[in-house]
Amino acid sequence: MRHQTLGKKILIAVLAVLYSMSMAQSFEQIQSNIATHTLSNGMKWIVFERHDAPIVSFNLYADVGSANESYGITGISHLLEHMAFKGTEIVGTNNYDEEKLALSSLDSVYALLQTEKAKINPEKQRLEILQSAFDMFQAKAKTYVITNELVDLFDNEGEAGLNAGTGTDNTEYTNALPSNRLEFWMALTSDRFMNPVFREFYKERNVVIEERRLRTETQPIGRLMEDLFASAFKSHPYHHSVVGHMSDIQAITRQDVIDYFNKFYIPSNIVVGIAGDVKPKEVFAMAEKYFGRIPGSAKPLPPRTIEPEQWGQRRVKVEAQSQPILLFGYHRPAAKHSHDAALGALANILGQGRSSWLYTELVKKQKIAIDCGAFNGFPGNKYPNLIAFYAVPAQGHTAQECLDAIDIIIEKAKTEAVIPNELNKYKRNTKKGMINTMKSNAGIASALCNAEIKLGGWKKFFEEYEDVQKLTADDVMEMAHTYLNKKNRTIAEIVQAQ
Amino acid sequence: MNYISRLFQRIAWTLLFLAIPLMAQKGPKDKFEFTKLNKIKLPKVHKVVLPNGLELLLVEDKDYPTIDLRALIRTGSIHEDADKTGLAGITGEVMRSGGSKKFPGDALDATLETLAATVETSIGISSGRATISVLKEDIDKGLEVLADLLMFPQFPQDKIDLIKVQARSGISRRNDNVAAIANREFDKLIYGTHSPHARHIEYATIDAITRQDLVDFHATFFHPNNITMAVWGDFNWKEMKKKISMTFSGWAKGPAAPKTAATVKYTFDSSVNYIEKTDVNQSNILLGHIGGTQDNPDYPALTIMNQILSKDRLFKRVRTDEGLAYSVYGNYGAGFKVPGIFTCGCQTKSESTVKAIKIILEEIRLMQNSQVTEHELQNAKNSYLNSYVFNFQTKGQIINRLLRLAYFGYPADFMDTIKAGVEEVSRADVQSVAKKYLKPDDMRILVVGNSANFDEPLSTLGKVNNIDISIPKPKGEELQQANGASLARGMSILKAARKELGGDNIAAVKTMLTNANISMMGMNLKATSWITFPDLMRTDMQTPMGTVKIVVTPESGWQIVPGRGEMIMPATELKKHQETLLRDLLYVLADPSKKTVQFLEETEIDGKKVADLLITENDHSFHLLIDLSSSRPWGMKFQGETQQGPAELIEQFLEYKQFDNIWLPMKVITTVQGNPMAETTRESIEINLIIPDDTYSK
Repeated sequence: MRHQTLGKKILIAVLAVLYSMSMAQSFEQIQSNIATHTLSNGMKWIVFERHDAPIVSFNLYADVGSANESYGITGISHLLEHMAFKGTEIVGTNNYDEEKLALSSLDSVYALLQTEKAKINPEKQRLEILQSAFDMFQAKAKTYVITNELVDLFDNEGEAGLNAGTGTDNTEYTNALPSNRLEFWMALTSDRFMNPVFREFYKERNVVIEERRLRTETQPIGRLMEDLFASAFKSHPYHHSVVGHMSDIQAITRQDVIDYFNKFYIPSNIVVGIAGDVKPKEVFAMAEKYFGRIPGSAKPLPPRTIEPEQWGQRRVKVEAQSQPILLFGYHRPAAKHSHDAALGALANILGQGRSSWLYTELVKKQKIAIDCGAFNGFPGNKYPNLIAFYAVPAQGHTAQECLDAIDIIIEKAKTEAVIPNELNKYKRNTKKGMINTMKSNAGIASALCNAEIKLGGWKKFFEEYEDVQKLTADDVMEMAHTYLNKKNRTIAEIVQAQ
Repeated sequence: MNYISRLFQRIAWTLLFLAIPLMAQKGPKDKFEFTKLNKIKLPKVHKVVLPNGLELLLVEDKDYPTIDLRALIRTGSIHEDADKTGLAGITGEVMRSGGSKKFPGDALDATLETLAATVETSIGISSGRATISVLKEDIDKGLEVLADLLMFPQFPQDKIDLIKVQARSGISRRNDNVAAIANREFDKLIYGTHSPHARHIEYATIDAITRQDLVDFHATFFHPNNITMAVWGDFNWKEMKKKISMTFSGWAKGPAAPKTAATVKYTFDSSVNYIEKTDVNQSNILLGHIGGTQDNPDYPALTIMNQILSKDRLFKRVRTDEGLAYSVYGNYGAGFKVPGIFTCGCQTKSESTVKAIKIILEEIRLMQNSQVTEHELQNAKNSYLNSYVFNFQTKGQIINRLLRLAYFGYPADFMDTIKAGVEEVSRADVQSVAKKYLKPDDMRILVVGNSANFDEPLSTLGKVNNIDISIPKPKGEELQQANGASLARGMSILKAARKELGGDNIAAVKTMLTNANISMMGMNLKATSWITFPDLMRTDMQTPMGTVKIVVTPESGWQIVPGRGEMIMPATELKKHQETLLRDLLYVLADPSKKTVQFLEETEIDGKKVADLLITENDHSFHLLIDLSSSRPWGMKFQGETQQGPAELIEQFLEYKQFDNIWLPMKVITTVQGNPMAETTRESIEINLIIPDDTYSK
């Protein structure tokens, strides 16, 4: 129903305000269980106290991702994340002094080998000698390694959430342990990020190369996303994928990783989120004790390059042995921008859920797609990014048909206000999404770090909810007008390889 | 916070930190004294069985203002016929997407999403599932909807058509992803191509599924006494019990769900299987054999063996030491009732394919040939035992486990039994179960990749069996690429034909009676047919044996043949007759908007320019050929039955004559591959007569 009497409208508005107030109150209660502390070296700690079960989740959040990379070292943030599992001067080695010598010899030989390879006419015999020296030192270094000891130490204590993830904007290291293992986590993790040793580097680089093959090169959708970003971002480092270019991964050196670590893994660039059965005071005291040892330095500056205004619609086709898929995006500002909430509502109403405009039209009515949708924050959201749309054409239908159909919907969004129910859908789903995040220790630990780094304070996680509750239909229409323009768009599609 | 309290806090901090340096920092490998872990809080689970047999597990969880429900229903695709593979899944899906009379699916989508609520139904291999997830104030709505979906699903044809479009598209896309190919084909290698645990949908099995099949499938399994529901969230359990009991009170007990024996037949042998994928530079490798079930007394030892094989052996060797793969694992899979699969796998560059397989086989043998180290054993046991507490993270997790255990007939304390077992596992036990259950000489190996770049030919591992994964074409129509233009043109030609033959007068036709002579295989038959549009038809044919009567209704169909009595049509037969109605010229032209009309091509027949339109409705497709000079239908082309089996039939329409402002052909010639099969001459046609109700009853 698009027409409502004035009285009814007022009633709805009053109820909405009352409703959002009661919710805000209960969020306030949750916030009272959150405490923060910043060490003198600049490392910030956020603790969410909850004693439901004797467990605790950790999120060590480094404010560095592939957007901090430049040509020649693309993929290094992710490679570093892999190397952060290799141990320390204490963990993962049976004799660090000897190992250190072997590793430095290995690096020197590797450098000579690369220099020779780079010559226009490499000397074959020299290459062979260097290669065998490389193999020898690699084998020598390996004799000092206690394989995967860092992981084994965690597992031994009942680790249930050991993982790490690298994105365009950040790198997160997660753990979940029985809550009486707090000090163990402090001891191992502080050592892990204070005295890391990037051993077994050249083998791990191959693992990452296999990961690139697995996720990008053998996956039609992986290729599609890589080419969409490469076209949509001609200048900003969102241009390259998180895993990096194959040739860069193959060429990054151990010293590159050490330098990168020293630049970005400093206390002022790290936030730790902890949620679960712990007492904040104990956590902060231990943080001082274990992480306070790390010397502080100034936070590195963000990447310089800003994506310039687009000069016209761009279009890219990826050939693959695959049925067609359509994916396209429009430039939009970063998550901290005041339009973020309204853009969220726009994507939600147009393209999230079975009652969304896209799904109703393309899947249910026209039956030209089997799935379609819209989302924000592509490929990241710390910097200006894309609001993206996708469609998976139904058998016998084309990407172009889907694009035409979505275009009609997008034009409609510029002229037709969304109805209150649709806006309520977004508001309520935001609330439920927040509750679901809060139900999980790992979820809330990550969300608080994310808000702290990307939005300028962990409280923004809760404030975003209030921004959303204030949205009006006009706000949403304005977003469609402002951003969903063809000149501002890049289209990518998979076409069947011949 | 005011200044004083801030100051106070700062002083407190300083005092706290002054005390700290007295305690030395520990190294990561130092010994830690852990304080006693806070107790696991086990929630109170209220078990209730309602008078109609519906079982409830209720747990109060007041931390967040939400309520969740998960129901398991005794059903599953193990119960569907192989030639209707997909029936169970489609039934589960359309229960929700189609909704009930009170809550039609599309309206439900909007209502629920506006509430940020979900109510879903689905059917898997060995169980059906229904869920609710709502903010607590919406639980009444959630329950009301779920009850209506479970009891009175409508299964509307358009939602069945929609999911069939999606299923067919899924089939056409199933070879796009390497991992999907590998997993699907490996399951078939182990369980057998036709096993309910591995088989998958094909165009033919999707085409064979009718609405009646869904109705029947639902009627067989969906009774309250076949359902257990777990509910947790912010409620008072007694009130919740009352609510559920009232909402489902109108649902009577039904027959118990039929039991299926979990039969998996397996003979150990080795094989090397290869699927060619020329556009990849990495092989997806899976190898293994049949696994076991969790009620095996050796399951605790197998759990520890899995951990050591995967993490200590394969991961360290294949990934860390050799750098061959990102993901590598080995796991002796165990199901609740059905044996799992012992699966080892990795993805490695084409150039190290055979090397990786050989290393994996070597590591399996090593597990059998020598004991694991004490360190490996302790680490694996500690990992399991110390992380045991994570089985009790949330009340939802706990109650869901209880629900699953109960469904599969396992004791509620099953986890504790496994834990007690794990505590006792020794190095000898690990070796003994590795010897007993792993068969490295009898592995079925599958490689999906590009053999052009393999390090060694796969044949070094054994005789190579090439698996063909090309997708069997749909029976009958092969849809060509439709696009906006071809659809628009098709529709405009069809509308022109409609106008030519009578326009809106056609839509006004409710009934029709036809008397005709059919000449076929040297016989002359007289036939009278009654049609009440859109879906009732009766034909009486005078044959040398006597009058054959055929009646078709949306729900059922039957034939009365002299001397043989009344015969109910099987579903597939009924569907064919219903499709005849979909092809009736008046029906086709009455409401073109209900159909997908695709212009395929312009051809010449007997010197006439004819448009070939592909018309699809309710999942049935046929060609309508329209003479472009006159806009009159020239004829039809469709998949039909002949004495030699299914074939493409062509009907040509001749001698158009006008009845009540509607033009209809008086003669229809049917040919198969250019040979005449039948000639129908209409003697009389009567439109909009009153057809008595009992015409279509038995």
